[in-house]
Amino acid sequence: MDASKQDALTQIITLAKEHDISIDEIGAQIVNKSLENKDGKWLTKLLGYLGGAFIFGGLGLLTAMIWDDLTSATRVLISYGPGIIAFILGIMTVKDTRYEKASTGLFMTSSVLLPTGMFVFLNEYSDGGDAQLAAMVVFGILALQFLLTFSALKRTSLLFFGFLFWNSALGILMERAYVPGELVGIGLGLSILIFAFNVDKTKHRAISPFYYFIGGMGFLWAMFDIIEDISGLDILYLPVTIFMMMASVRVQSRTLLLVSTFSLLGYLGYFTNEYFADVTGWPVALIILGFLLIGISAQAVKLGQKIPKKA
Amino acid sequence: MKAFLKENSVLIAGITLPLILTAIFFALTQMQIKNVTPPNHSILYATNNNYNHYYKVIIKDEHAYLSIVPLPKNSHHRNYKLPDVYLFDPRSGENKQIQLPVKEQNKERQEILIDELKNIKFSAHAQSPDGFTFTSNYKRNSNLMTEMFGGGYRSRYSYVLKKGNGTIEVPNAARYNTQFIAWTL
Repeated sequence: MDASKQDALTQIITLAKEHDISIDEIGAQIVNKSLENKDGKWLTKLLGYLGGAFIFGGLGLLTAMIWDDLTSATRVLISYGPGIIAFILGIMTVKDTRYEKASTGLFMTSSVLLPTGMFVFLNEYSDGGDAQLAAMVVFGILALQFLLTFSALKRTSLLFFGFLFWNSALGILMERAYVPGELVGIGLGLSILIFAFNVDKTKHRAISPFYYFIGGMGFLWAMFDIIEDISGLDILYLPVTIFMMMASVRVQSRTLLLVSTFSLLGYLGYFTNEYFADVTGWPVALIILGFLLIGISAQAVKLGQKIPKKA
Repeated sequence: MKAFLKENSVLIAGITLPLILTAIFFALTQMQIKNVTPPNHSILYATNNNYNHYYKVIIKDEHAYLSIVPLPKNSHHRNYKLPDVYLFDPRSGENKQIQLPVKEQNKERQEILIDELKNIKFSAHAQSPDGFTFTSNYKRNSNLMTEMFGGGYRSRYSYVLKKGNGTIEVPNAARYNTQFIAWTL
């Protein structure tokens, strides 16, 4: 090793000690820089994704082909095993800055394979016959697993899947407690909206648009179901959607604005068809609806401009 | 802890809202079940009986018979399976499967008295003498949330004995495949 290289290494060690930089962090930077410098980065990525998809597709196909020849224990092992390994690898990669980005993919894989494996286990070893109860137990356990891991590692993907499993378990619990479908929709919809609103204020805000979308859709759909059944009072849906549009500006969510605007447009279609289609003729009703749509979309764009773009 | 609760009160309220709804409806359902006095009459019903034009359980002169109706040669109905017939006693909760007489297919119409039920009198009237009816508790109230997170509507695909607001669930009564036969007298 020549003298200049030795000097450089000494300098690196001094700087690392001075700024408390670990060997992993230096390694991660070198790997990331070398990736940035590579030409055809998109091609590498694309081929990487394709390769991954082929491997999973091939493994899935192979499993399906030999499924009937497998024993119960092997079936559980082949479905649950890769899931738990992906989950453990996900945790390990979070702790290693060089592979941090791989953790999301690994957690996503485990979120599919873990429930599959647990359902296979119940199918092979349990003869209760109550599939809904089995689903509630599986999703409940997974919600705990993902949310507890999230509380330790603070990874957004863990929160995303953990909350998804939580709602799956909760929805079944509500169903089994004979909560009417409309109230399941409103209760879960509001709960998800409030969660999205809170998450939006944290560093995990990347998942809030998805939950605003699901929560907003669920809430407005269930509200329409209730109001539609009350004869003559279905006009009450109008203030609900307008309130949601206003709320979307207040919470600064373009996703919620989109959902509530489409919900309002859909409702106007329903309303004109219900009350005006046979009065002065359908074509006139369509013209009125057209003007309303233009007016609402212009208003929605104005409201959208009030919402700042998020990083 | 107090500071955490105060800081996250909205989130906690949002997360607990569905749980509160669950608790309320669970309590209401339990109260409803406790408040119903079960009917004094057992019910005879059949399952696994879809499109069965060959075997039927009928009531004739207050007794239960297995009716066998030969099908015409060109008939497209080909369900030759015996239905599962149950006698459900809502007071004890006992749900007894009834053995039906097995007969060779015959060209002639037959009505065979069901031996296990020969000492019981039945009424094919839809309503029991004390006012209960055998009805589906299915309600078409699905929406995005129930479809995504509902897990398949176990509770809504069943039959109940209903009087006013009170209901008693009938065991083994699948939504699309169950038929009322008669009440005991």
